[in-house]
Amino acid sequence: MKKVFLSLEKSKDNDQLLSLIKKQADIQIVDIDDIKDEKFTVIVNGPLTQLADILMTRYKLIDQIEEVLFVGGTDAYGDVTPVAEKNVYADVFSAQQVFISTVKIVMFGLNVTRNLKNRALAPLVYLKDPSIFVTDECGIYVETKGKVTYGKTVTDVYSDFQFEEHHCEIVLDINKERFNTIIKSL
Amino acid sequence: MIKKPINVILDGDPGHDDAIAWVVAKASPEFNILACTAVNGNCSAAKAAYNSQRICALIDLNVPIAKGQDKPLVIESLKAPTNIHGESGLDGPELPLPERELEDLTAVELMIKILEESKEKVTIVATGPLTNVGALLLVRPDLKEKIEQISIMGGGIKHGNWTAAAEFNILIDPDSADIVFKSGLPIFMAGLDVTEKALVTPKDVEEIKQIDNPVAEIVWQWLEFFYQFHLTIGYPGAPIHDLCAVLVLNHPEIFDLKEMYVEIETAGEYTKGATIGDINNITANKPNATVLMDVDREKFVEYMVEAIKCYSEVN
Repeated sequence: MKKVFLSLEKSKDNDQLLSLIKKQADIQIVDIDDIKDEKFTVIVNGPLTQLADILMTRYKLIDQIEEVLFVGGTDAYGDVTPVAEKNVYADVFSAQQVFISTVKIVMFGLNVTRNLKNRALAPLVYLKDPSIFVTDECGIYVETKGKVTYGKTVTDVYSDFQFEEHHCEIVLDINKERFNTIIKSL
Repeated sequence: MIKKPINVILDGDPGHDDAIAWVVAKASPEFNILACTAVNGNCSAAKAAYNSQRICALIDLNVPIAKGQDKPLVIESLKAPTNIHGESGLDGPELPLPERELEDLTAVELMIKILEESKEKVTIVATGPLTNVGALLLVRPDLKEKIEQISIMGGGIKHGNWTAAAEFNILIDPDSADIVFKSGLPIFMAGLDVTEKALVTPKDVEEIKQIDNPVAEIVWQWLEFFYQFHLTIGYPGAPIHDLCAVLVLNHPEIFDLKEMYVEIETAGEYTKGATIGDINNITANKPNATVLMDVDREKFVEYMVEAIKCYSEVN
């Protein structure tokens, strides 16, 4: 049984995600206050404010987070600005708090979610079958000081330069056919 | 009908790929080279100036050469890397000694003189940090009307190399780059998006080795020196970054060109020196640059080899 904590902005897409997760026998939605010593996964589709708040106040939980499945950010090109994506741009500071923490993050960025009908479902499909996602280990940090790059998720996945820590997985491709098959089966 | 030649000032920090870019420019009848100016970058401005003199001696390019200032405009310089171009900035084969003295003018003064004296507009090919060009535009904005365009090797829309987001030439002096990109002048930007695809492989080098002239003899050794480093970091050859900024002027058809608004990040913790391209037109800003996004690699190598062969006919 997979335990997941959801941090979802109110939206139709997230409502669909929530109703589908509730139907899954192998996934249990948990409240942050009920977690004892067990491991859990976090799914975020929205600003990272709530997760950053948890990291600041209940940092003892950090080691129990298996991974954060984050819908947002981008490998290069943004939607709010040329380089920043909406969920990160909504709370840049919190986003960087999460990315600079030691938590493992899987980022479902605009580069792969642009063409999905409902990008909120990507983390659920990932839990069902991660093998349909092409990912690469990399470092990702959020620019909080830039004038034109404010809110950019900076990754070393394409650059000769490499960050010291590769604490993230960036999704680079999705097998669309199998993705849709899984959604239909949920 | 023969087209009017493209008048150019070659501004760079040679550097193996700058040197090859200049070799090709000299051999191409489309270009009329007016001057070479050296900038602090791959190596110090002094080394770059000395290398410029020796390259000019090699290719029999008798034009004025001047040295730029030792530092970027408002920040300290990064330490020049020695693992890519070597201690001299252009390690490898022994080059002929300088035949022409450096001008008694600074790089910016020489640029001003050339632009003032030229009856026709001049293109600046800038293959190092943009310190000299930025200074020129600050000191003499009136001379913009004499500048046809600026063809730059620098930046990267999708990624960097020296940091995750920034490419070396722009990272060294982001403030100068900012001046150039905001100048309103037409800009060709050959960034890492294209230049990391502009690869010369060990197989291509074998072809150049077969060419029997003194320039080819040097170029293949430069290439061998240059790809050693790149092979160690996983490239299948050497990216001849700077040659893109030359070839886009006489062979634009081999490149995939995209107009967009490009802005330089001059602050930032992770992104200082990044070239932010509005590739999806999210801002309403009018394009200020034509960005090279891809290249027909085989044609690229073909034009390079063709140019090197021209040095056989001279003698």
